[in-house]
Amino acid sequence: MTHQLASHSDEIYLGGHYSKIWQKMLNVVQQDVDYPYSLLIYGQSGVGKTSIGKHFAQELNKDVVPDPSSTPVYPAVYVKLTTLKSPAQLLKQIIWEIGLTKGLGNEVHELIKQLKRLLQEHKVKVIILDEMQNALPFAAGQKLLEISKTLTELLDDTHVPLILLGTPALKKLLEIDKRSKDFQLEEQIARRFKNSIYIPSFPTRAKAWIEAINFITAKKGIAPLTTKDWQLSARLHIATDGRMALLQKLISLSKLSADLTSDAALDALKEGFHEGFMEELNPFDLEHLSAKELKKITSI
Amino acid sequence: MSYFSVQVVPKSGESLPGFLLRLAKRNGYFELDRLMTKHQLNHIYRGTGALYDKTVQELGISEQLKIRDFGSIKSNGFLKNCRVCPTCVKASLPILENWQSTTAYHCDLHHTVLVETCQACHKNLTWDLPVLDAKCSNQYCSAPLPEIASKLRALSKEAFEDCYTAFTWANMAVDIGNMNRSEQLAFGYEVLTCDKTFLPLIKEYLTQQAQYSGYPDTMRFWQAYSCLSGLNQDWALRSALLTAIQKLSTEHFAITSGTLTPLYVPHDFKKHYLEGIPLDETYFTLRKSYISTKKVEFDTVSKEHFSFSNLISALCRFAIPKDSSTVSLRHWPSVIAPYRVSATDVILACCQGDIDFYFDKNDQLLDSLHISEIHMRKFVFSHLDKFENGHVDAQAASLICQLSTEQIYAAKREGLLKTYRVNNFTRRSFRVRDVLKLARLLDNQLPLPLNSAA
Repeated sequence: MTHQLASHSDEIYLGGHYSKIWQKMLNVVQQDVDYPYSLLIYGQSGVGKTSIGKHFAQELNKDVVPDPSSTPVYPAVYVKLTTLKSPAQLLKQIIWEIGLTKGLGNEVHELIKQLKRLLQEHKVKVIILDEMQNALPFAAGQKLLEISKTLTELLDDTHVPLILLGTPALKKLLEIDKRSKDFQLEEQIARRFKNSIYIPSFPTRAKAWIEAINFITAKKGIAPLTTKDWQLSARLHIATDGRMALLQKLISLSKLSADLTSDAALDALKEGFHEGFMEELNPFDLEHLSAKELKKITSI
Repeated sequence: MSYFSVQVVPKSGESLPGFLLRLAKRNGYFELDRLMTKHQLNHIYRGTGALYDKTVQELGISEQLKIRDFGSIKSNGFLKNCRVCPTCVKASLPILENWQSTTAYHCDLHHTVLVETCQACHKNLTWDLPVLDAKCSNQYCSAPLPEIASKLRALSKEAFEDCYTAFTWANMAVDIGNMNRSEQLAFGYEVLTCDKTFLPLIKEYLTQQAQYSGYPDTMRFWQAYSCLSGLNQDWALRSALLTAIQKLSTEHFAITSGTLTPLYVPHDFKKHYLEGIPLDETYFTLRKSYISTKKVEFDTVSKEHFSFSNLISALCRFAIPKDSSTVSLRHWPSVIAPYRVSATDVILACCQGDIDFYFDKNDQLLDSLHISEIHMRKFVFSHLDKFENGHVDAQAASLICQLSTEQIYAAKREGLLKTYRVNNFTRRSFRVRDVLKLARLLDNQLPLPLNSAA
């Protein structure tokens, strides 16, 4: 199985810390052990968890040659979870995503048995569960324990690793014993996972941030920024908090084009920010944030 | 639209339920109930109809069913118990349709006896997923199915059909008990080869003097005759049956020469003849109504439908020609139909002498049994009279009393007739005794002779 690494994708930006995350996800799939370890990736909203998870699944499934006469092979199954009422629903959503939509049981052990069969038929190597925090209750308690046990049973019976994507609230899944006070149970799920990975937002002065900006603006034909364009990159960072999703939103709402001057571009971004972001202080408005103040903030 | 992530293609010779089991197993089900109910399975097995279309659509398997025409393999559309070759299913070979046949004994590939019953819990195998793993389908048993080498591997298909015929006869002669299909065929083979166990059986049941009052004995005569005609090959049983029948015919007919042979044709035997008649569209309607209600719609009756060839040929030796005021077979079912008298009873009455009949030897078709209408009605009345507490509907009462149905109901309102209804779902009917009393009152208006006891 060969996969393109960072910055070789036309669809998403895989530079900077993304390349390491990508490699760690690949390592999960390429494990050669009887009981492969799973991975939990968390980060704030908009840092790129869903993009990388989806793209990873697409890349894995891209190598498979479809054969109409045999069962389709899906090395990766990507599931975007909705709010669940029970652990059985978690398993049902995975089964639905694989393509079986009829006659599903309601008991966890039945569903795991069925899922195991389907995973074998389709030769699945990894299950990616996005928005995993939707499956968890707000507080640690019996329901969290049930989800934890379900995932444990799923891992043990199917031998297919999981990649869980979610917000920082997802961390409590691996910290059950530290949270529960009323019941003392030996936590089991954490030892089936590798060390969790946190996806940060881009730092202000990182080269990767500029690369990320250029990746998005290149689609509009705009000339790439360099390190000399620190003001603009800093303003963009303030506006989007270094998150890819917000950056994409800002760029798409701003009427940017290749022939704009820098002042015109700034105005366009100002309008775009005003249209899409609910902040009162517009970082692209020189009256709100002058160059001098910007320098002070960013300590450049 | 398919609801399954794993699609399965039907294999050559595979049975439809076996294909559905394989589809369910590949998609991770471990109970067929999760996928479909037994009713849905039966609907699909029927192959046609609105329920079939609806069920296939609900399951999303119409494309798979088109690949191989499962519709051509239906018999009566009822799904029987599952029969499998354990060796084949362990090797992931499909469950074949021809294994489900009554005359299939072993698998043609491995010559393993087909298994229908679990030896551990003695329950019949049902169409469920454990059979694909060669295990009992009873969830509380799950014992492995035995792989037994067939001792009858040299027998041909026709020979197995003979085995089944012999079993059927023997089962009617003596209550053998419950056997699965493989056991039935093995038993039939033993009967055919006529070892010491069955020779006394034949002698016991065939050499007894036929008495219509001794219904079981005469029935066995005809059953034996039917078995004989059903055998394709020469077996030891055949010669034994022929000898016994000849002996019976010679002894019995010789004793009763000049009188009617009191032979009784049982309903089952007659049904067997009906099943042997070439089928056409009208026949299905007739047969269904006859078997379920013992009545016939005379418009649909044709000469070919009632063929008691053996009985007739025996009776014709003793037939006494009557005058021309008789009705042909074509009409007498219509006479008896309203009174709910079966054709079998008529034949019995012929044998008893209650009905005079005339057999036309010149008629090429064997069913030109002419029966005197007057005597037919006499028989009907005496038949009705036996059931004092029996009931007839308004139409029958109308015929008996030769009154219109409006007049019958008027008689009811005047208190001359009482009506009865068994439960809220049956129609009101009249008590026979009351109808005959009314008929007696109207005696001078009736052309029919009444039973003196009425």
